Amino acid sequence: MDKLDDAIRTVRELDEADDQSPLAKVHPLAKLVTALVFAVLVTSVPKYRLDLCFAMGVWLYGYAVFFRLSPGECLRRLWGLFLLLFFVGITNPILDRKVLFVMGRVNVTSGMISMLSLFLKGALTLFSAWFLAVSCGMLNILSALKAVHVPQVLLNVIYLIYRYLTLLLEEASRVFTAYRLRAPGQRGLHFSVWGSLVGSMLLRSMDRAETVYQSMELRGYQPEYAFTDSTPWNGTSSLYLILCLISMALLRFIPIFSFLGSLVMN
Amino acid sequence: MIRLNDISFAYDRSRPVLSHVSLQIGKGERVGIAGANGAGKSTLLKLLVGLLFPDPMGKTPQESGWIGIDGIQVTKKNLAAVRQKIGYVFQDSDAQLFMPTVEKDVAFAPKNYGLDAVQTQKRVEEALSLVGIEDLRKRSVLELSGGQKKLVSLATVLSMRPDILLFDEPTIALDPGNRRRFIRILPELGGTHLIVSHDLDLLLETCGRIILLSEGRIVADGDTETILRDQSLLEANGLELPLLIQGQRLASSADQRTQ
Repeated sequence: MDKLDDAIRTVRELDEADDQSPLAKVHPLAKLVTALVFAVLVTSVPKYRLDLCFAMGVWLYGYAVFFRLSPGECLRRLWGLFLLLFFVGITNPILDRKVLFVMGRVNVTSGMISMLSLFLKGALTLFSAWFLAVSCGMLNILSALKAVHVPQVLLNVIYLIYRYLTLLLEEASRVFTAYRLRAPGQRGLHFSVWGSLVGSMLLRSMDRAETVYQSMELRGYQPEYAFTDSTPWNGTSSLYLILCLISMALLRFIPIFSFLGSLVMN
Repeated sequence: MIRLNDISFAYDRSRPVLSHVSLQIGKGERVGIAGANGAGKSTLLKLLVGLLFPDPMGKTPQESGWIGIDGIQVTKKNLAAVRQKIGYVFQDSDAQLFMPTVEKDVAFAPKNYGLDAVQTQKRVEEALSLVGIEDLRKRSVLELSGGQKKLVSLATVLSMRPDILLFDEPTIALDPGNRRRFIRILPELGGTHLIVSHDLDLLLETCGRIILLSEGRIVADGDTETILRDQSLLEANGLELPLLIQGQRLASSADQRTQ
């Protein structure tokens, strides 16, 4: 129940994100392009190049510090997804046993390195998606997607799902609060009511979604809702985009960490 | 002008909600619709904005009656034109407000009607100031009180500059202060108003005409004072005299006793 309230708060924070972020003056398209390019650059890092993954991580950390974004908050909200990332390359150490080097008494295999690099790549992409969400807000992300000609029908689906998600969470919160008040001392939901409670929650949220949709229609909502830009493209956006792309590309293609490592080794 | 001609509607064929309702509401009129629960008041409003359509009740659609708004018949084809003329304030404000902040919610309709950013902002300012909630513009709609939500709902509709305003139980869950504020705002809004409410005192104060519905039929249509002072009529249709009139009667009977 508190988790539900927490989730509603998160959605609300994402809704208001565009107004409060220090990146508010940057056009959403610039932020979207930066996040997409970052994701492409990170995922294109060869699987044994941990040094490049670290370099991209340093870039992202610098970005977060500069724009006052919180990686800790991301970890707190998305810890489940980070946990899942551990399983992405879990079979690599078993299948790929070629020893690369020995660290103390441990043989470090290429499978271990590739598993770690897969985890890092996934984690960095998650962080960058989170930073985009908290610095843009959903409507601005949709307006940026519209600017790059993502089909309107897809934008509408994302928009309506996003709105429905809030309603579903609110209804869930109400249903569980009503349950909790009439089941004092009980921890969680008794399994005997799971079916009826979930069913009633879905029906109620669908009912509310229907009314909300009617309200949208009455105020002129058409399937082609105008996701208009709230921030105009300006010099700050151009500067932001150029600096981000150049710095990212430098760190991705110039192996600074390998160079520093070789200096230390020599 | 609003015209309803022989309108019938049923959610379930065995229980008609509205039966052969015909009425006319002139431009600038402020009309109250009263009736007990299930009388068909909210359904009537939904028919006006095309959220529901008249039920043929076994007849052909042509025979099921029609609704006209300023000469435009309410049909699926004409919905966009009709809805631009009508603003509907929902009974449940939570259902009406769905954007992250008050300002964005108020801007939703002008944006949808294709207004540019400058015009949209102008409409937002105008609507917020008409309702007197400029200070709420940056607030999240989820953080507002019930009364504030009601006022924001009104602003979201006013930003469309509708000719006709439909209110479904506008004072429900409002505290006396916000209720009074709503009553004060109403005459400043202009246009034609149709107010569905159980709050007969509200209708007495704000409407010049009352339509009394019972079991889907119009049982009375006329001057507010005349209908709302008719105790037997109201009681026969599941209502009571407005508190204001009850108070006046108590006061006059007390006066008579003292004389």
